[in-house]
Amino acid sequence: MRRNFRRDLESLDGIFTFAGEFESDNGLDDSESYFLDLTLEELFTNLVRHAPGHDEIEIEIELERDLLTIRLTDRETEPFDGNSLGDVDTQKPLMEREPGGLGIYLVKKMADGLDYDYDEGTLVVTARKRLEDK
Amino acid sequence: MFDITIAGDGTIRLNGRLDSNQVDMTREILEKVGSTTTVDFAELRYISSAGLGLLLATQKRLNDSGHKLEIVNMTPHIRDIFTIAGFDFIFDIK
Repeated sequence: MRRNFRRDLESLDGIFTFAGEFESDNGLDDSESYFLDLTLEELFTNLVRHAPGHDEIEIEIELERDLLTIRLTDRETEPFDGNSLGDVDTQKPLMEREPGGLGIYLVKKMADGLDYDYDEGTLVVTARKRLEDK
Repeated sequence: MFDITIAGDGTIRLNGRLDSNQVDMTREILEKVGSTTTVDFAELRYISSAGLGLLLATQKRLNDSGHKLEIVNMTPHIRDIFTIAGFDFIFDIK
Protein backbone atom coordinates (compact mmCIF):
# COMPACT_ATOMS: atom_id res chain seq x y z
CA MET A 1 0.00 0.00 0.00
CA ARG A 2 1.28 3.43 -0.88
CA ARG A 3 -0.10 6.88 -0.18
CA ASN A 4 1.09 10.48 -0.05
CA PHE A 5 0.55 12.64 3.03
CA ARG A 6 0.88 16.38 3.52
CA ARG A 7 4.08 17.38 5.26
CA ASP A 8 2.24 18.35 8.43
CA LEU A 9 1.76 16.74 11.83
CA GLU A 10 -1.98 17.02 11.25
CA SER A 11 -1.50 14.21 8.73
CA LEU A 12 -0.94 11.77 11.59
CA ASP A 13 -4.62 10.83 11.95
CA GLY A 14 -4.76 9.95 8.25
CA ILE A 15 -1.52 7.99 8.54
CA PHE A 16 -2.93 5.95 11.45
CA THR A 17 -6.09 5.27 9.44
CA PHE A 18 -3.93 4.15 6.49
CA ALA A 19 -1.90 1.91 8.82
CA GLY A 20 -5.08 0.52 10.36
CA GLU A 21 -6.32 -0.55 6.94
CA PHE A 22 -3.04 -2.36 6.32
CA GLU A 23 -3.08 -3.99 9.77
CA SER A 24 -6.62 -5.24 9.23
CA ASP A 25 -6.01 -6.47 5.67
CA ASN A 26 -2.87 -8.35 6.72
CA GLY A 27 -3.97 -9.70 10.09
CA LEU A 28 -1.33 -7.92 12.18
CA ASP A 29 -1.68 -8.58 15.91
CA ASP A 30 -1.69 -5.86 18.57
CA SER A 31 2.08 -5.92 19.07
CA GLU A 32 2.81 -5.77 15.33
CA SER A 33 0.26 -2.98 14.88
CA TYR A 34 1.86 -1.01 17.73
CA PHE A 35 5.23 -1.34 16.03
CA LEU A 36 3.85 -0.17 12.69
CA ASP A 37 2.02 2.83 14.18
CA LEU A 38 5.01 3.86 16.30
CA THR A 39 7.47 3.52 13.44
CA LEU A 40 5.30 5.60 11.12
CA GLU A 41 4.76 8.32 13.71
CA GLU A 42 8.40 8.56 14.76
CA LEU A 43 9.84 8.53 11.24
CA PHE A 44 7.20 10.87 9.78
CA THR A 45 7.42 13.45 12.59
CA ASN A 46 11.20 13.29 12.40
CA LEU A 47 11.14 14.14 8.69
CA VAL A 48 8.61 16.94 9.18
CA ARG A 49 10.49 18.55 12.06
CA HIS A 50 14.11 18.17 11.12
CA ALA A 51 14.39 18.85 7.41
CA PRO A 52 12.65 20.96 4.78
CA GLY A 53 11.25 19.13 1.81
CA HIS A 54 8.46 18.64 -0.72
CA ASP A 55 4.85 19.38 0.31
CA GLU A 56 4.10 15.67 0.59
CA ILE A 57 5.83 12.61 2.01
CA GLU A 58 5.14 9.24 0.43
CA ILE A 59 4.53 6.26 2.71
CA GLU A 60 4.65 2.69 1.50
CA ILE A 61 3.95 -0.38 3.64
CA GLU A 62 4.33 -3.93 2.40
CA LEU A 63 4.34 -7.41 3.87
CA GLU A 64 6.17 -10.03 1.86
CA ARG A 65 5.98 -13.41 3.57
CA ASP A 66 7.09 -12.51 7.11
CA LEU A 67 8.97 -9.32 6.26
CA LEU A 68 7.22 -6.03 7.05
CA THR A 69 8.75 -3.10 5.20
CA ILE A 70 7.90 0.53 5.98
CA ARG A 71 9.29 3.09 3.56
CA LEU A 72 9.03 6.89 3.69
CA THR A 73 10.19 8.91 0.69
CA ASP A 74 10.92 12.62 1.12
CA ARG A 75 11.76 14.68 -1.97
CA GLU A 76 13.52 18.02 -2.44
CA THR A 77 15.12 17.61 0.94
CA GLU A 78 18.53 17.58 2.57
CA PRO A 79 20.74 14.63 3.57
CA PHE A 80 19.88 13.09 6.92
CA ASP A 81 20.90 9.86 8.58
CA GLY A 82 19.09 8.88 11.75
CA ASN A 83 21.62 6.12 12.27
CA SER A 84 24.31 8.72 12.78
CA LEU A 85 22.58 9.80 15.97
CA GLY A 86 24.12 8.22 19.01
CA ASP A 87 22.09 5.73 21.00
CA VAL A 88 20.12 7.07 23.94
CA ASP A 89 21.77 6.16 27.23
CA THR A 90 18.84 4.48 28.95
CA GLN A 91 20.87 3.89 32.11
CA LYS A 92 21.27 7.57 32.93
CA PRO A 93 19.60 8.77 36.12
CA LEU A 94 16.39 10.76 35.82
CA MET A 95 17.85 14.24 36.04
CA GLU A 96 20.37 13.53 33.28
CA ARG A 97 17.83 12.11 30.85
CA GLU A 98 16.69 14.21 27.87
CA PRO A 99 13.87 13.29 25.47
CA GLY A 100 15.83 14.10 22.30
CA GLY A 101 16.48 11.19 19.96
CA LEU A 102 14.16 8.85 21.81
CA GLY A 103 11.79 8.26 18.88
CA ILE A 104 14.44 7.09 16.42
CA TYR A 105 16.06 5.07 19.21
CA LEU A 106 12.81 3.21 19.87
CA VAL A 107 12.43 2.38 16.17
CA LYS A 108 16.03 1.18 15.93
CA LYS A 109 15.57 -1.08 18.94
CA MET A 110 12.24 -2.53 17.81
CA ALA A 111 13.00 -2.95 14.09
CA ASP A 112 15.33 -5.49 12.51
CA GLY A 113 16.78 -2.79 10.29
CA LEU A 114 16.59 0.96 9.70
CA ASP A 115 18.25 2.47 6.63
CA TYR A 116 18.58 6.02 5.35
CA ASP A 117 19.42 6.42 1.65
CA TYR A 118 19.95 9.83 0.07
CA ASP A 119 20.37 10.51 -3.62
CA GLU A 120 19.97 13.79 -5.53
CA GLY A 121 17.56 15.43 -3.13
CA THR A 122 15.50 12.35 -2.31
CA LEU A 123 15.71 10.74 1.12
CA VAL A 124 14.30 7.23 1.53
CA VAL A 125 13.92 5.90 5.06
CA THR A 126 13.27 2.17 5.30
CA ALA A 127 12.43 0.18 8.43
CA ARG A 128 12.13 -3.59 8.29
CA LYS A 129 10.85 -6.12 10.79
CA ARG A 130 10.36 -9.86 10.61
CA LEU A 131 6.97 -10.85 11.98
CA GLU A 132 6.39 -14.15 13.71
CA ASP A 133 3.81 -16.63 12.45
CA LYS A 134 3.26 -14.93 9.10
CA MET B 1 -9.07 9.24 20.03
CA PHE B 2 -7.51 10.49 23.25
CA ASP B 3 -8.86 11.82 26.50
CA ILE B 4 -7.31 12.84 29.81
CA THR B 5 -9.38 13.18 32.97
CA ILE B 6 -8.73 13.86 36.65
CA ALA B 7 -10.63 11.68 39.12
CA GLY B 8 -11.94 12.92 42.46
CA ASP B 9 -8.91 11.51 44.30
CA GLY B 10 -6.53 13.37 41.97
CA THR B 11 -5.64 10.36 39.84
CA ILE B 12 -4.97 11.30 36.23
CA ARG B 13 -6.48 8.88 33.74
CA LEU B 14 -5.16 8.61 30.18
CA ASN B 15 -7.55 7.06 27.69
CA GLY B 16 -6.86 6.07 24.10
CA ARG B 17 -3.87 7.03 21.99
CA LEU B 18 -1.33 9.60 23.16
CA ASP B 19 0.42 10.61 19.94
CA SER B 20 2.25 13.77 18.88
CA ASN B 21 -0.99 15.64 18.25
CA GLN B 22 -2.32 15.01 21.75
CA VAL B 23 0.71 16.21 23.66
CA ASP B 24 -0.42 19.85 24.06
CA MET B 25 -3.67 18.80 25.75
CA THR B 26 -1.78 16.46 28.05
CA ARG B 27 0.86 19.08 28.86
CA GLU B 28 -1.83 21.51 30.03
CA ILE B 29 -2.91 18.99 32.66
CA LEU B 30 0.53 17.76 33.70
CA GLU B 31 1.90 21.27 34.11
CA LYS B 32 -0.61 21.78 36.93
CA VAL B 33 0.64 18.75 38.86
CA GLY B 34 2.69 19.87 41.86
CA SER B 35 2.83 16.84 44.12
CA THR B 36 3.10 13.05 43.92
CA THR B 37 0.30 11.94 41.61
CA THR B 38 -1.00 8.62 40.31
CA VAL B 39 -1.37 8.28 36.54
CA ASP B 40 -3.69 5.46 35.50
CA PHE B 41 -2.70 3.81 32.21
CA ALA B 42 -5.48 1.20 32.22
CA GLU B 43 -7.19 2.66 29.15
CA LEU B 44 -4.07 3.98 27.44
CA ARG B 45 -3.60 2.02 24.23
CA TYR B 46 -0.66 3.80 22.60
CA ILE B 47 2.11 6.22 23.49
CA SER B 48 4.96 7.49 21.32
CA SER B 49 8.15 9.35 22.14
CA ALA B 50 6.20 12.62 22.26
CA GLY B 51 4.18 11.42 25.24
CA LEU B 52 7.18 9.78 26.84
CA GLY B 53 9.10 13.05 26.62
CA LEU B 54 6.27 14.88 28.33
CA LEU B 55 6.16 12.33 31.17
CA LEU B 56 9.94 12.60 31.52
CA ALA B 57 9.81 16.41 31.76
CA THR B 58 7.07 16.20 34.38
CA GLN B 59 8.96 13.62 36.43
CA LYS B 60 12.10 15.78 36.38
CA ARG B 61 10.17 18.88 37.46
CA LEU B 62 8.46 17.01 40.32
CA ASN B 63 11.73 15.42 41.39
CA ASP B 64 13.08 18.89 42.19
CA SER B 65 10.50 19.20 44.98
CA GLY B 66 10.70 15.59 46.16
CA HIS B 67 7.58 14.42 44.35
CA LYS B 68 6.92 12.01 41.47
CA LEU B 69 4.43 10.43 39.11
CA GLU B 70 3.29 6.92 40.01
CA ILE B 71 2.03 4.93 37.05
CA VAL B 72 -0.53 2.16 37.54
CA ASN B 73 -2.29 -0.41 35.34
CA MET B 74 0.22 -0.35 32.49
CA THR B 75 -0.60 -2.67 29.57
CA PRO B 76 2.08 -5.11 28.35
CA HIS B 77 2.76 -3.30 25.04
CA ILE B 78 3.32 0.02 26.78
CA ARG B 79 5.44 -1.65 29.45
CA ASP B 80 7.64 -2.94 26.61
CA ILE B 81 8.08 0.62 25.32
CA PHE B 82 8.93 1.85 28.81
CA THR B 83 11.51 -0.91 29.19
CA ILE B 84 13.18 -0.18 25.84
CA ALA B 85 13.28 3.54 26.69
CA GLY B 86 14.76 2.82 30.11
CA PHE B 87 11.77 4.51 31.72
CA ASP B 88 11.19 1.53 34.00
CA PHE B 89 14.18 2.83 35.99
CA ILE B 90 12.92 6.39 36.36
CA PHE B 91 9.21 5.89 36.98
CA ASP B 92 7.46 4.20 39.88
CA ILE B 93 5.36 1.62 38.03
CA LYS B 94 2.77 -0.31 40.04
